[in-house]
Amino acid sequence: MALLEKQIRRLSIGLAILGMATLMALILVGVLDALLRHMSGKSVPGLVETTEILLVATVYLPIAFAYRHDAHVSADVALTLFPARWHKPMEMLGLLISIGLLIPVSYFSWEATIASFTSGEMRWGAVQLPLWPGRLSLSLGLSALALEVVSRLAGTIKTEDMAAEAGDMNK
Amino acid sequence: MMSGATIVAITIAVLVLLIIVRLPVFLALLGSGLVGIILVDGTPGLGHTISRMMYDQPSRVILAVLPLFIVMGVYAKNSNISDQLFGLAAAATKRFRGGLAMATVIAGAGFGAISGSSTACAAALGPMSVRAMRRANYSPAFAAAVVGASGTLGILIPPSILMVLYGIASGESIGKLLIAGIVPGLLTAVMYMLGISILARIRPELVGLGKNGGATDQQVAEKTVVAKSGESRRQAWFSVGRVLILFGVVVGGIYSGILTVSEAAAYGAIVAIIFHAYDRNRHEGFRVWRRSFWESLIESLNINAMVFGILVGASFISYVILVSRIPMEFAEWVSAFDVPGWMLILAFLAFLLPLGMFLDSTSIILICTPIIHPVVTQLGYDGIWFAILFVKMLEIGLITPPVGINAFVVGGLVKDVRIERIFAALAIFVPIELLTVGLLFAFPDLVTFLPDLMS
Repeated sequence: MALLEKQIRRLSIGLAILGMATLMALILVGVLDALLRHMSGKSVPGLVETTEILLVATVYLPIAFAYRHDAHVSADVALTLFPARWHKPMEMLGLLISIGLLIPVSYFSWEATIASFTSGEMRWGAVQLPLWPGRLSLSLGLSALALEVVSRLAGTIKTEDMAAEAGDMNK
Repeated sequence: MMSGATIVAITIAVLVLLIIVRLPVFLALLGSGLVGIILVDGTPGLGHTISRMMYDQPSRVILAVLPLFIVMGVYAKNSNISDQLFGLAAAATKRFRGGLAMATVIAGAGFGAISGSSTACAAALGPMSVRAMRRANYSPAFAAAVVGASGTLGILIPPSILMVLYGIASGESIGKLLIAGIVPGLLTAVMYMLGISILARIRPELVGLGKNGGATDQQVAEKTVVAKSGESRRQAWFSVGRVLILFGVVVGGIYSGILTVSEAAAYGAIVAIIFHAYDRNRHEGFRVWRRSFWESLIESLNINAMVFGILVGASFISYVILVSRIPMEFAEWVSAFDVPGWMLILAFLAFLLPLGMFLDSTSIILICTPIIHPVVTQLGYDGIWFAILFVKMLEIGLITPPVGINAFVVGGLVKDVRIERIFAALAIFVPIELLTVGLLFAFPDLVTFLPDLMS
């Protein structure tokens, strides 16, 4: 289990590093576009299409890493309205729902990625760019996120078991 | 066949349930939106709808402004700019009662001019200003509250991420929305300072007056890094210069029409990264800069993933709302009321207040704007003016329980003060905010005259 957890962490970090690269690229493309537009009065062909793909990659590649670091907003206060003994089961229910949601969403995104790759789907604009790299980053990000949620659920169950064992020993 | 209103009611109920079981807001929005889509369209073609919306929503070129403004704000926060702004402001206000609290507000307005997020603003201001106020015997909860309230200036004074989102959700000009935030932002800062000044007279113990021991505002201000040497003062003025340059590039560029919003954001991001490199290299050396650079990039990436996650999730709910024809039905329903338009506007704003207490600002903008904004403009009111009032109400949500995020940010800085006490101290600022909203409501020109002058 620890080995699996380690691999999931590596996957999230690896995708986040790719996300950092796409974020830097997005900044550079933005500056380049602005500079060239001011100097030559026109945009470089393909920059708009590149920006679209970079945006998708910047959003989805680090989404699992952001989850691992609790960067996604959640309204914890709502949970505190319930008795303390309900918190853990409710939290686990939430994790199960997340998994139940992310698995089909990831599946559909993989379907779209494979279809995009095999059909040679293109973004038609000033230049033609293949769409599959953007779709792939979406699929990879969502799948890594699903794995992160599974890992968190396993961690929560393990903590529960250890707490129960500690309780038994204290009796 | 279910009615549109029933479908939306079920969708919202599912959203609330998912939030209660602690799903991240973006997943809760996504899950409830999917339930709504199944109720509207059924399951055929669901996979195609999901993959299309998940890809299409974040790939709109106009959204490139968001990561760029996020990067700009994070790198500016992680430079020493906010501390130096506070030091200079403290020197300027040291003779006033509650001078350090006023200095925090001024620094908040200054930092708001280079950061588009309220939490970034509160986090950047907090450490130094809370330490200074506590040294001057301020009530710790009040010191934290001043920082929390000053942080909200970040979402009004441009660049503002929420204004960009409002523009995307409503179709209003993002450039005009950003410029429209300047006067209301400054007005809010002035109102805060007036409020602090009055409070310092009514309840002097809040600002450390009448207590034995501790230093005065003046003594603390004179001990800030800025006041210690001529070199530090020069550095502080240099920081002000950098704020003006960043503000000039972004806001000046947009206002003059020389730059588009995307170009201004791109230049702003790169200038903030250069300033950050200069600051860290000069004061702490290459290694510290390098570490801080990567940390800032990771921070930007996480914030970006969070904001876009909500944007994608909210688009599923927006789809359900639009397909259910709720905006049209809502407009018809509203027009059936035989009441003046201004009363409806007040009702909308009053509705936002409790909503802001339970849901984050990004989700509220993305869900409510497509419903409320068209009604307001159909009634003949200025969309830009309403956007500012809308965002002002969200500002109040940032400092009120239970999800007032700024209270939690400053709560992390004053760990010996319970969060309930910080919320209680922040309540002082709510009437000031409402009074400011009242002024902007009564005098729309305060909001509209600057964007109307834009080229």
